[in-house]
Amino acid sequence: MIHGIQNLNFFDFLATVVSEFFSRREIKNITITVALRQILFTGYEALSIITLAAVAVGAVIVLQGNSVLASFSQSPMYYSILVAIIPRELSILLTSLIVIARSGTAISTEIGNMNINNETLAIYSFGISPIAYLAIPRVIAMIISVVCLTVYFNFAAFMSSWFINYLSDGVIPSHFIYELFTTMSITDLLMAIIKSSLFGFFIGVIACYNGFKVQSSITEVPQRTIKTVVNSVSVMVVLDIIITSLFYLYLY
Amino acid sequence: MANLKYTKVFVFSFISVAVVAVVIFVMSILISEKVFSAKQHFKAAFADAIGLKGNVPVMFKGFKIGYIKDFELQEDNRVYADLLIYEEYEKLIKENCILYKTTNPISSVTSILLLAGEGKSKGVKPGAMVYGFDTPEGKTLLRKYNIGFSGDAISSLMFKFDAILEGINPVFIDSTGETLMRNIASLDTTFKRINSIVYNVDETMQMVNSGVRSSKDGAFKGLAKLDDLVTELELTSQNARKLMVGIDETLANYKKPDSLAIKMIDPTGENFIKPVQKSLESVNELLPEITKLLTYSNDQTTNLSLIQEKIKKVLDDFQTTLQILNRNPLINLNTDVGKKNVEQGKKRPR
Repeated sequence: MIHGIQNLNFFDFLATVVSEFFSRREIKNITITVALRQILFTGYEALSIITLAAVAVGAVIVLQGNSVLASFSQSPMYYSILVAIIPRELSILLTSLIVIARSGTAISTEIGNMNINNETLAIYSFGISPIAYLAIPRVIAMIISVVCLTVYFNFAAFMSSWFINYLSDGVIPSHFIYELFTTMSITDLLMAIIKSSLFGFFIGVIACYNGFKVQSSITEVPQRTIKTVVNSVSVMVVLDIIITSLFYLYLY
Repeated sequence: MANLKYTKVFVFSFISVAVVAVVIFVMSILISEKVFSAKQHFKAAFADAIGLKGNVPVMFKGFKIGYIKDFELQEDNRVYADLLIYEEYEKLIKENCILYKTTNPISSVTSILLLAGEGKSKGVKPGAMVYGFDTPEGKTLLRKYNIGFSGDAISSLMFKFDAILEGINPVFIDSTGETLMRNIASLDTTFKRINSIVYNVDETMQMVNSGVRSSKDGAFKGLAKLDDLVTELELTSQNARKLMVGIDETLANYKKPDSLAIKMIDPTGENFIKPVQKSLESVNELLPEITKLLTYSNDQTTNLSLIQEKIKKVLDDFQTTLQILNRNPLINLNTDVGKKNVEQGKKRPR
């Protein structure tokens, strides 16, 4: 089985993760504790860096947007730009990048080291599927974490935007909220949630896949970690283009 | 490790706050979209469906007062749309209202503006038809109620061009007088020409999109300046409208044979000659300002220069047209015949 996992290509691994998630036999091996701890590490502990990035992005958009749009007599478009940039794109991309850097690499390294120490083999010898026990909880945790962090990112970025607007133009909160939510639509929110869920899913799967690919040498671990980062970012960019195109084709 | 001890608490709080935030976001969006507000159905008629799509907002003085739900092309080649107006704004839909489709050339976002005319007017009942500016009924309402415009600079500019066009042209086309119409046939042709020229400006303004993206402050300052000029042009068009009312009266009087000669000559000049002269003077006063604008914006980007070239051509043609008008003996006070008629004519009691 372990040998089998190591020989799976990415798409077979992906299919195995999905099939085991829906398999009655394997579902009992998916432990809540592993998932909760992963959410703690990936989501909760990343809150500070996510908030910092969001505050910076929100503030920069206000400063740049206000200065440029005012000279075009298009200040009301500021909210359209804010919505187009933050919930639709930047919140998801930046959150995912941070999660890849912090947790994608960590998962890959952890599972890789477990492979080298034959811990995954030990799990398998107890009759437990390593994918169900190690990969699926992490993938689920990754999805939940990325979605939640994206929500926090949006909230922090909007707060920061308002605060800078308040300092520069004295914009009151009610006016900001009215303009923001008049410009924003449910589709924007839907896009953010769908994108972040898929990004979380693929980051988790790619990290686990590269972790399981480590075979015997400790030197493989950093190589696989690098591959995790590169593959995750590539998949994220491609997915982003596809999802955005689909939304603009059918929903906007 | 302290975190691990309270993993469940932290994770539960982390997820629940995010879920609450999402719920607040969703509710706020739904409330701002007035999904829970009662709406009244109206019908809207447009000449075409360009820019129309489901849920296009209907705005009034910056407030969203409703939206277009659905639209279809009917056998009479018009586009009819279902217009949903929020109950709190239902009173705004009156007889003197028209709908104006406008697309922001920068964001390419189309919105429908509800424009109301001057003075008091009756409200209309739900289900009534509200006409678009581009329909004949809408154009009639525009002239009848002297409907004004409020919106962003570019939409304002485009509307004013449209309004000038509508103000100048129709009376000449609709006139039914025969002999007098022959006399002013050249005017009719002239205004049709102005019609087509000014219409090109609409197309020109669409190019502002690319022009603005490639330039900086200058583009919009130039446009803002142009906006001021167009405001003045609009005033001139109001004069033209007054002139047309005069022509209407002249044409009506012309149908009475006993007063034919004097009404044709217009001895006092009050009905016809003076308004035309005033209108021409106003337009002529604008020409130096327009020249200044062109000089000022001479060094803008390629696209803007192209637009300016088009505008310059329009204005040149317009000036030519004015010269044609000035030379027309019917309205030119400088001609001996005109002066003589004015001096010798006696006003008859009507």
